[in-house]
Amino acid sequence: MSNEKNIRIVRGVSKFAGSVNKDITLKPLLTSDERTLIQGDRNLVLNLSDQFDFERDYCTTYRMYGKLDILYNNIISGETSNSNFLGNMYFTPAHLGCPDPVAYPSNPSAGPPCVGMPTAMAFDFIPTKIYGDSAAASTYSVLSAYTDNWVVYISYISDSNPDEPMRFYTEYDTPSYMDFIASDGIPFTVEVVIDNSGRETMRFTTPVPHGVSPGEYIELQSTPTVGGPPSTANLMTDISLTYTTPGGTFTTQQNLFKVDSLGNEFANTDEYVINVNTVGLDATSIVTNPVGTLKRIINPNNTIESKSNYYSHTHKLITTPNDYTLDRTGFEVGVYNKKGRVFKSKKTPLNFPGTTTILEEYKSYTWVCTLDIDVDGYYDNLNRPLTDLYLTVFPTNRNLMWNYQAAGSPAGYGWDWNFRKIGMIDPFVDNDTNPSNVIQSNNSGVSPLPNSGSTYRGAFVEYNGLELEERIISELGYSLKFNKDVMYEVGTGSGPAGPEFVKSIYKYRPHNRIPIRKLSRSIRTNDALFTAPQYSVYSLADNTFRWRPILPIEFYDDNTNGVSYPYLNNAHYPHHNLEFIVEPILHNYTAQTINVISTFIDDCE
Amino acid sequence: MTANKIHMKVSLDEKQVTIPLGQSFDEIGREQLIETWEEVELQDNINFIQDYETTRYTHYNPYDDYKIHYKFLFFSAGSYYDDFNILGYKDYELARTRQSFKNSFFKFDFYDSPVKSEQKLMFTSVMPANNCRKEQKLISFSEDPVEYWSQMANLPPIPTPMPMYGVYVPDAILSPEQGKNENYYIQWLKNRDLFTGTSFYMSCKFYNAKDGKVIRMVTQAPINPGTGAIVPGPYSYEDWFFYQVILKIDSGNAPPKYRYTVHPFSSLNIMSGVVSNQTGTMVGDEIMFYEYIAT
Repeated sequence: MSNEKNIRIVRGVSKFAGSVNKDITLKPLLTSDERTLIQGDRNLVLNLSDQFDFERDYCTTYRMYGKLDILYNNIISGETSNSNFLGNMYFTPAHLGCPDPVAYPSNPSAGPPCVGMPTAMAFDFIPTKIYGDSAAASTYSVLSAYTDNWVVYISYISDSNPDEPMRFYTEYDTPSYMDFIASDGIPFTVEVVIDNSGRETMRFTTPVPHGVSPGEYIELQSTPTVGGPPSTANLMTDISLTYTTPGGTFTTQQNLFKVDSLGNEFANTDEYVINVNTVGLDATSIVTNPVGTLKRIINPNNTIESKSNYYSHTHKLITTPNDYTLDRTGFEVGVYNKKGRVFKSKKTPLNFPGTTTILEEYKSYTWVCTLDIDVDGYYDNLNRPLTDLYLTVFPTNRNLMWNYQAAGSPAGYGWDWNFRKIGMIDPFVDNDTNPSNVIQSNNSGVSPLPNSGSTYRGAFVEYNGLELEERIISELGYSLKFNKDVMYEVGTGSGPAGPEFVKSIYKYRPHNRIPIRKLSRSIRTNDALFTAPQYSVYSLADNTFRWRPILPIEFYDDNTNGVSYPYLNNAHYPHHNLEFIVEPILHNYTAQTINVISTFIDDCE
Repeated sequence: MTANKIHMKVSLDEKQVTIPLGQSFDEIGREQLIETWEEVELQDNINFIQDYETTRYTHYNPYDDYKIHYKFLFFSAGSYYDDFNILGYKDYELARTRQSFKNSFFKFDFYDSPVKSEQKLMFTSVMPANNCRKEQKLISFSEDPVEYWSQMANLPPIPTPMPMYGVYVPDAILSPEQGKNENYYIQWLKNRDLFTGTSFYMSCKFYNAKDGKVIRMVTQAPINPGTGAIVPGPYSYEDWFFYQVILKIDSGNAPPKYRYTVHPFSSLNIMSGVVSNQTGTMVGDEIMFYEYIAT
């Protein structure tokens, strides 16, 4: 046995010549960490379910796939003489078409130039031919047609940009605006009202959801700048308040206010309207045409942690244009009927044969990312493991449908307040002055196509350090303006300035979120970093490390907060159906542009 | 101060107390090693995860819009013809895609080796006969009098009316285009861990639903170049039955990423280790299959 070794203990001097005695202390402890290996103890019971969960949790490879349903309203019309475009155009009025002026000399609408809309192929994911500008250099290839209009990527949020420049227009007729950067917070306008209780109230209205709750605080910012004609917009920063107390009258400059209530007299306005009851507003406290930005503060005694940070996301592409396949679904078509018309040759211009033009068709496509995405090496802007991947869609414009010439990009960009449907087109989204960084330098379309590793701006976001949570304030939108070589504003072709751009534009969302994991609704704390995840945040107020744990797959901590998808072949298969919406932003047309029927007054009144 | 009250009861059986001396052996490290060993043994015993994910491989042919060209010739009376009539089909059956023709198909078998004694069938694909091209052909009055006279009645008398219709010929041009892509793509593993080979050897058979016969095809016309006489089989497997199909995953940005090419193959390729030039890329350079002539 183990104690049978012949061990002899001798004094130091007895060991070898010159050796001395040493005091040796031995503390016989009554504890031992030795454990005998017993054969039966090492038996393991295999549990298929546990083993599956173990392998699935260990796996970090994702194979993305899903369905793309395109939804649009092909409603923006224009005028054109472009020969290739005319051959594919949907003429209006459809019953007249665009007849030959020789055959119909008395018809004032005989063309060209012809008026109408582009074919449905302009929005399609796989067009069937070159349908756009005659000057397009691209030739049609069946294999690469899936990148003629759009190109699809998988991206993730790699960084954030608090210095992202933004502009908020308060007036379009005589343009008046406020320039600010993302870290300035959420734009607002303000007015003073008397509420139902007769109290003086500052009413802040934001163009995007403000995310503030009653009892929390807002802080007005002084860094934005206003632009436009004098006194059309004025920055609201510190507000002068005068208090009269038994001790005297005091005037203070205040930029921090407690929120008393939300909403106004209209329904569903809580997310956009903040009410602050005040006392002692000076006559000049509220400037004319006030505008500004605000930040949310949960606890004014702990502003370091509880004041929200505002920034824009930065997306980095993971895949290349060659890393996905796109095909028509076998049996599915969109919810709306296909709309089209046969234009016989007498309804087409001279030398144009009769044609069948599809105006709207809502096709479905299946997309499969052929690149296995190992998220192990990726971290998001907050140094957390990835919880979202994004399906990023860019225009490629090989048919030159969209304006790109002035600034070298087929798309502009903006956030929700830049795409308000009020009958005016926000100048900020004009890609001539504010292009996206999808680059098109010639008539071959976007070439080369963006590659993996490229970065693009994304949503406008609030992050609150106390809540350890991001909130999307506004998704990024891309604007598409017609190339006037293809289609220009009706009636401007023979004008002194030449053809003008079609004023109305299209808008779509380039980055579409695909959740792959979810963060818990609850926050965990720990005193030591080595037992907390690397993305935990040290709280000065609590002296603890805090974080939101990542939920296991198929674990829901409420009805919606969780993910579930198949796991096989040592990979996760998240499925995402994207409704890809291209919506028109119309000039001189608003939701309110309807014929209001005069109030009926009967004879008794 | 807290104190533990320990009662020691006298036992008549126990005559000694064992007091363990503290030990500093690395029991924890050993325990971890055992746990790791347990995990390895566990994985070895239940399975190791195998990736069966497949994807589609596209024919690489940028010279002709990525199309692939096949041509099939059938034997009759000492010669080869690219005509389904030889197999018993009438023109009207081919023009109207009768069930007997619609149910006929070409079957392509892909092996891992051209050597018969070593090869394993890896996968198979099927191309329906009606994937073939149609060609305009004069209508035979005796074969299809109804169609003949129907067209004659509607054609102008001058020039001389020539009633025609489209008839399938054993010649297929497949492409990624919808409706023309059946049997165009090859579905195969993305990950090469399970099967590391990149070359497959493709043979072809025609399944004739008209008479239920299966016709084996060879890759060369079995004609003696000196005499012009048919050289009947049997033929060497390596030299007569296979095209080499090479699957490649391209790392560039130009589509297709997953691609395949087809090459003529013979035992010379085995000996020299050289791959023949790609074929099937255009009209005049089709992937040719000839009916096998049994002795």
